[in-house]
Amino acid sequence: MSLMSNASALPSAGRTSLWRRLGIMLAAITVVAAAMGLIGLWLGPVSKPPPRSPFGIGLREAAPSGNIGAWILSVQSEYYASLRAGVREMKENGAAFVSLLLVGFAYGIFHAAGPGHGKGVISAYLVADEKALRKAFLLSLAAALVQALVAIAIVAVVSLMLRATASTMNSIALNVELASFIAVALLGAVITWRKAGKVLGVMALARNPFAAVQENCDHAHLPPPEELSRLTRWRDMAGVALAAGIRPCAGALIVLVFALSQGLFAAGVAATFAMALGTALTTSAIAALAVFFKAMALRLAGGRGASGAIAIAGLELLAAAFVLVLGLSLLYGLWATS
Amino acid sequence: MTRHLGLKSALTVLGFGLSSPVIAHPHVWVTAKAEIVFAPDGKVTGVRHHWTFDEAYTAYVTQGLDKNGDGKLAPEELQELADENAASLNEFDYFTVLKARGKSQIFDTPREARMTMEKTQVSMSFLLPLKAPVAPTGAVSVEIEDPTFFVYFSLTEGQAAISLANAPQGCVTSIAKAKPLDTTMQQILQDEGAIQPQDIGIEYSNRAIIACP
Repeated sequence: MSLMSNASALPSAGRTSLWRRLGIMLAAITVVAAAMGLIGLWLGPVSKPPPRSPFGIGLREAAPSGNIGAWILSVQSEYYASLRAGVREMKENGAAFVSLLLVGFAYGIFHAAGPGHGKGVISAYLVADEKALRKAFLLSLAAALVQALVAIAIVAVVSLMLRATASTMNSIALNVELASFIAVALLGAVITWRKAGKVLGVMALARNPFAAVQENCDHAHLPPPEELSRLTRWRDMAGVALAAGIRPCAGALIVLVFALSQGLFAAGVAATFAMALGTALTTSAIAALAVFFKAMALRLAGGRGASGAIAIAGLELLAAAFVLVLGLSLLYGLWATS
Repeated sequence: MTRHLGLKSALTVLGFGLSSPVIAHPHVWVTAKAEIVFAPDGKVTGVRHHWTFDEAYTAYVTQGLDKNGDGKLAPEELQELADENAASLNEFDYFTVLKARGKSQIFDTPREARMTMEKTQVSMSFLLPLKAPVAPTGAVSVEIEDPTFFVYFSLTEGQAAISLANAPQGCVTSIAKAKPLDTTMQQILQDEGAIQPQDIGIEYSNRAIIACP
């Protein structure tokens, strides 16, 4: 990615700062991993992939815990049951379509209220990188749509075109899951690297404001052409949306196949999109919290000069490292339970 | 070196944090029936399960299995799936807990897995043998449940839900069923704080206690 080229362009004098940058990156990862581990001991796991599901549904599903969690769980269960009932009903009565969409939307809202790495990825990215509310909404919507499209594509290809079996569908879904965890880790690695560079740059600037431009500083002092930065931004956003969204949810797959078996695939597709809108709504709310958190941190840091700037860069670095640790621990979980 | 140590301990801590149970909302509904199997010498040798799956999951799991394309699923067409399902159940401890005198018994690999279609629902039956047959003196209890909640088990109506095969004279069964989903959840809300989510599994358990003279 763009930063990598930035790093490789370092002159040989920059080798020590390359090591320093790696060191900072490692330190941030260690801090985040330790913190997540402690929170995991205290509250329950933060990033454990839920257990592999039985009866040949390979995908994992997590649910929130705690009393509010139990309530979310019960509402979710109810909507999921109505979703299946809605498909059944539609077979006799086409008018049930509207209620099917509404139920799908509601299910999406509550289903997304559980823990899932997608929300973690989007929120952490927002803390690390930007604080634009519009971007938060856009990313949430994009991730949810990606998730819906992946589920629809899997069912369309495996079930509709190939007429393959559930075990084929599972192995595809599991590979997509693996890809999604790798994507999270990669995204984390890229932004952690970027932020480690920023921390170094800000620190150097604090030490000597009149120093020459740091090569390892991310903020190019000769700004790249507008289109180029826009391109990077779009690529970043696509990366985040993919990392957060490509893992399909088991519920959507089952409902889609069920709808298909009743000859109502189109209705199932529509319900899946309704679900995605619901998911996007919940994720947006959580992402908006992340944006407000970042804005508050910026305000606190404002007027504190160099130390404030270092604190913000450090916060961004930790948020970026969180994405990396999340991806690695999801992968570790896959490996450990396989 | 110290950093290395820190990383290692962080990973260890993370590893510990990774190992507590997580629950999910039900994706699969199973109506369960079980038969406790006794040997001629009066010992319990295993459990024969009969699980009927819900319509949506049936559609999901049987897709593409109608090999001869006659629109019907014959048991032969379902055999591979039955074997696969039964074999992979060990990861979930077969959703079955059998205790004799309060001690959990260990199961052997399931046998005689079969699947059949009943209208729009698929059923699976299999024999889950105990590694070592156990005498039913004292009480034997059987529980069918998924603590992660992904599968929602409920017992079929009536006493037939858990029956005894070749049991010695005088054995009696007492069945405790899971409450319907909604009522239990409401109860949890009412008792806010009183019940931990980990207890949901217990609250939902489908249990039978068998007492033999």
